[in-house]
Amino acid sequence: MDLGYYNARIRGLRGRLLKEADYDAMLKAVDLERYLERLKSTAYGPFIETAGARFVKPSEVISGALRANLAETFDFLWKIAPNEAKPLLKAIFSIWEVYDIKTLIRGVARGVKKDDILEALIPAGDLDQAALNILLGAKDIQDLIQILHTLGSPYSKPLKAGLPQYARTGNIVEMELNLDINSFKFLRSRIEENYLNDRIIREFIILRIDIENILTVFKIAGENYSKEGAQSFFIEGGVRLRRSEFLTFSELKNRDEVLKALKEKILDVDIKEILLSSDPEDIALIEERLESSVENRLARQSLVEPLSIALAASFIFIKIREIKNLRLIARGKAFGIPDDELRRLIIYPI
Amino acid sequence: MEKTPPTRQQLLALRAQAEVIKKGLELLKSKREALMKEFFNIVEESLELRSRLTELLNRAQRDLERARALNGFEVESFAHGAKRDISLNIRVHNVWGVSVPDIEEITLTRSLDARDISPIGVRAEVFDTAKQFESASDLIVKIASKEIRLSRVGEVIRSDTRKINAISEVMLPSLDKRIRVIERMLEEREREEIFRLKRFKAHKEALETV
Repeated sequence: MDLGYYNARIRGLRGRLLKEADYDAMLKAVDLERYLERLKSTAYGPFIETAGARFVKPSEVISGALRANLAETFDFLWKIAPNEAKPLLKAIFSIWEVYDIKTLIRGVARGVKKDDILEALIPAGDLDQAALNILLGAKDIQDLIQILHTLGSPYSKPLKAGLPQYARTGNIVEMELNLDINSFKFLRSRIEENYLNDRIIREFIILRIDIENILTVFKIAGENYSKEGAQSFFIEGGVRLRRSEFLTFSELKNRDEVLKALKEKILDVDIKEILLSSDPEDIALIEERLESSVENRLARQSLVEPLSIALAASFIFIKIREIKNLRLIARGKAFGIPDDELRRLIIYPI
Repeated sequence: MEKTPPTRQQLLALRAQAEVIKKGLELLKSKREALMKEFFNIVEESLELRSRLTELLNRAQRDLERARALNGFEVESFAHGAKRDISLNIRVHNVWGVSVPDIEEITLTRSLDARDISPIGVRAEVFDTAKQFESASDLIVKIASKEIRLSRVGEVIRSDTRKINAISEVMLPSLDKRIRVIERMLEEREREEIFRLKRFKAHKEALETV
């Protein structure tokens, strides 16, 4: 698979990412208006101009601009990707595809206005803006699944399996769980070759499965789940946390106990290091740091294998991090979060 | 002042009326006292709940902002999934003859299982923030019930105070005045009668002597 041209374009995009010095300058902005002004002088400028015509409040302008920039970046990466790289990229974009479908299900099932659903969607991979617009036209959940099926989406099948429960009780959790679990199964099944790029993406999927399982244990601890009850939340295919360990940990009473148990059980150096230096009370930081470990691993792989898919995968996560950092500063400026706290939460580019 | 025929019957009627009004006034005062006690009890509880709510909402809002900063779109998607209708049971209670609506306390804080959302892919921070807002909603329902009671009892205390003032400052003094006027007129009449009788007696005695 020749990714030379694709990776060259990505390197071009990487050059436009913000540096640590840019963040420092933005952190110095005294209020949201000044921050918006500084942001205008970056690659986000045109997006801010467009969002400025649609929204009034600076916080909404920034949020709209960041969303539009992310959607355009995803669209660009997907469109210029060579066809043979798309199944691999799909493994990364599936995060947002699954997220979009879940958002649509929640919105349609709970009767949320279409404009509000649209605001929360991020076009990515096969679910570009046109596909999302078609899906937004769904009358009900059954119609939504039918449209997904017509679009040839692999996600329609797991959703269909949860439909009887929805019809009976109005609950969407089974559909969501089927979608979460089966999306990983589907991605693993599509990457069976043993070429370098396949190996990179396979490792990425396994790492994501492990991180999701670790984070799920934190979420269900103290919720009085029995081992049987917690079964449905476990995603198969990981290597760092076995099913039996997941089920045992899910019975623990609180996050403190989960963290202690995980520190002993997890052998992966990066994840262990994060767990060892984490505070169970600050779950947001644990989540961010675990997510950034995926980012770091891909970044390392992109250095070792500069012509591989790792560069694109790494770029996507760095871009997401940049958006998060910018949104974090915006919220910080709007709500007076101290700079020290912002600096603690910002994860700077590698 | 109302014109009253200065008769003994009227005097008795006015005295009886004053007696009834005084008893009513005593009753109103006791009612007001009991309602005041109730009012101050609720005020204390209500203030404590209010400060707890403010504290809880401050923390929840700060966490929400942080969650929105780190997971902006995800929070919106989660919020769509968390949308639900809540029905409240309102019963009417009787406190010293005052009908007070009472909202039945309910638990709005949901367990992970009751959320009807897959925990996979949703940040624990988002769940925690939702839980905090649900706890705040529990408290809001509790406070609403107390504050409705407080405003209802407060209204009744105010109207009772007005009534007590009207009775003790206007009605009773005017009634007393009317009673005093009649009493005076009756006494006057009695004195005139005695004087008349005396004159009549003297006149009769003079005639007999002649």
